[in-house]
Amino acid sequence: MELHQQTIHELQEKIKEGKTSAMQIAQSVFQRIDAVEERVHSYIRLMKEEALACAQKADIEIKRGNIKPLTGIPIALKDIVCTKGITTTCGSHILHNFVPPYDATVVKKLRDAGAVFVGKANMDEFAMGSSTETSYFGPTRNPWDLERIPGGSSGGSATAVAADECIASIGSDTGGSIRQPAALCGIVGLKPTYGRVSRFGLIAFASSLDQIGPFTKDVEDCAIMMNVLAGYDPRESTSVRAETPDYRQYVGREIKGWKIGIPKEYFVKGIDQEVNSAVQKTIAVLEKSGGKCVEISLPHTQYCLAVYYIIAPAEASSNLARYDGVKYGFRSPDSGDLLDMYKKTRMQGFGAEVKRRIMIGTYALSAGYYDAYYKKASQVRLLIKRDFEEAFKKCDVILTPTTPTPAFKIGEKTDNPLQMYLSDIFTISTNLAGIPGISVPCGFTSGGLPIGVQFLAGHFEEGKLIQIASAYEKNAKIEKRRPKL
Amino acid sequence: MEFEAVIGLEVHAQLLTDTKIFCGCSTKFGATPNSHTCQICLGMPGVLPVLNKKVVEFAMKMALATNCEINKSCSFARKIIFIPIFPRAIKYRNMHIPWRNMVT
Amino acid sequence: MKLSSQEVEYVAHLARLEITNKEKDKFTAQLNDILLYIDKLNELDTKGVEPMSHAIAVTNAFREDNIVDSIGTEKSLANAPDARGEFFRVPKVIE
Repeated sequence: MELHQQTIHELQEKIKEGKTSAMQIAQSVFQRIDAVEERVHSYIRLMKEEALACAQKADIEIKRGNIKPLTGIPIALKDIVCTKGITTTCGSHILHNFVPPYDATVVKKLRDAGAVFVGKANMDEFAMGSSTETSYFGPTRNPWDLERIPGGSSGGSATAVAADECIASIGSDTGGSIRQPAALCGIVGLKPTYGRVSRFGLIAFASSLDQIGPFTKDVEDCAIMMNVLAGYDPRESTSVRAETPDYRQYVGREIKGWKIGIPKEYFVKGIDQEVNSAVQKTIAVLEKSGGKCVEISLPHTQYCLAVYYIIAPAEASSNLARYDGVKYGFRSPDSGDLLDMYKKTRMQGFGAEVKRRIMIGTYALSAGYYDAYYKKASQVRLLIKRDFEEAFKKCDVILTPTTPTPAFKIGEKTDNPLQMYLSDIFTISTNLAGIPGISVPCGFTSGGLPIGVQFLAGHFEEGKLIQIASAYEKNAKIEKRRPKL
Repeated sequence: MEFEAVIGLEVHAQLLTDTKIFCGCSTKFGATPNSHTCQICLGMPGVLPVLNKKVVEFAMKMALATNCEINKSCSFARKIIFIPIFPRAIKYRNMHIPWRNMVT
Repeated sequence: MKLSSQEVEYVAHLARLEITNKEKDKFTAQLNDILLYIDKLNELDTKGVEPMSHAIAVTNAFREDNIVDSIGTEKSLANAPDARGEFFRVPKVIE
């Protein structure tokens, strides 16, 4: 197996045993990038020079015996986290030339853990989308079928891992943007509890929903990444001072006697037959592993869409007000007075999807409508959170499909409104309630497209997610395939 | 017709803290323009504010000195105003539950 | 009750977005969709339910009043589309 095809824990073993070096790993990854990147387009910007310089320094540290959790490991960063001195665009024209003077907290944590940064991964503009088709820098393609979407908004972070263009990556999840691309690309993706991972330096979309999380090739790697990413940050006012366990201790544990909640509102008509079949097989594996499935109800599921599509755009309209051409980013060259400059800059700088959400959000927050719209949605949001709190009294984790269908073709949004509804419902409730969720591969369609299954747990119970995902991974023995690129 | 004059006064008082309300930049006067600035007070993408404890302490002292009732819970809300001096186009207001007779 | 064209224009102004007539029609339809979401939410009686702004409530997140190094004028202006000396330059605010 090539170095770029291996996992963090496999490479760390080899590094410790002196069987490989950080430089060899980095070079292997960049050779892979040379071979496939033009077809996949995972990256907006590659950082080859910086990566090789970092790998060289890492090898000196390795010789000294100073090996940290990610020393020498090539990691991709969704272009939504600020990297000091490296352009950070958020997939948008309005930030096409923005060079942050500071690092996001997660970037600093990864760097301190020894990570080698490969590049800034492609994404839907301002994280608004679920297909990575709205990026100003062009779409990313699914390595399993280049005519299909990889999912979004963290599409590039997912494809970089799936195509072995990095060993692991980070993305962000506001309504499913880690879990959905993980499922469509056949890898592991985790959205932590709200407040678990610092948002300082994460370009904000919806501040009460956003979270940063890892994409990895297997569950053990996910635990390794979470150990680095999680933790209280005094620079973020919503960061929680909850104890951070060693997530690796949950890997390899069994799930005998665990109750697995099956929400009846999620298992309805509209799920693709092969996806449903793969999820049913997953349930069978879990029951064989000692788990017991129990039916639960999340009665406010049908209101999630309405709540999300008021709250997320409202918060986005506020967060994106700063993009005005005054202090950084794109400023329209053909504008007159200040008001004209604002309007033309934002019209020319933002893409259609972003403008749509800003309009919806501005309307929902405007005078006279705030109470009826945003406030009402916030009240229903509490009811949604309470649904999960009640459910977790009856089960240890909840299981759902991650997406109702496998990846669809680029440019072809599904015509089926029920499928569109389900594709949102499976993931957005998690962000509304602030609970953690993980997507793990659970099989392939007859056409060779990956399918993912999702586990949800209570607040700060990422350990349970690692445990059940790891037990499932071990006992399901899903065939290890690679995309034919 | 008789008219009664009703005059309201909106009084702004700068709190004498060493640093700004949401970041650790110095509030000292006399430095060159845009030198006591950082990514937070410039409203760059990705930044987050953290409230200066001294601001809260001074505001509470003022509230006590002027016989105000201090509410147990206080929250900030954003008001979007597009003016170049507001880097994030945001003005923070105490909404819903302000200190009685006090606006911070 | 549907939104009028003028209301959509006003929302665009609030958001400081210049929109074409074609976009105005498109946005009118999309904003009217929100009204459908509101109808859905109004099925629920939420009297006495506290609005939840954050799923995990964190209170009293403070920092000490200690000076931290600023980034300096050069770095502050480095990304400016139009900078003159130590200042950010913008078009005239008042005509």
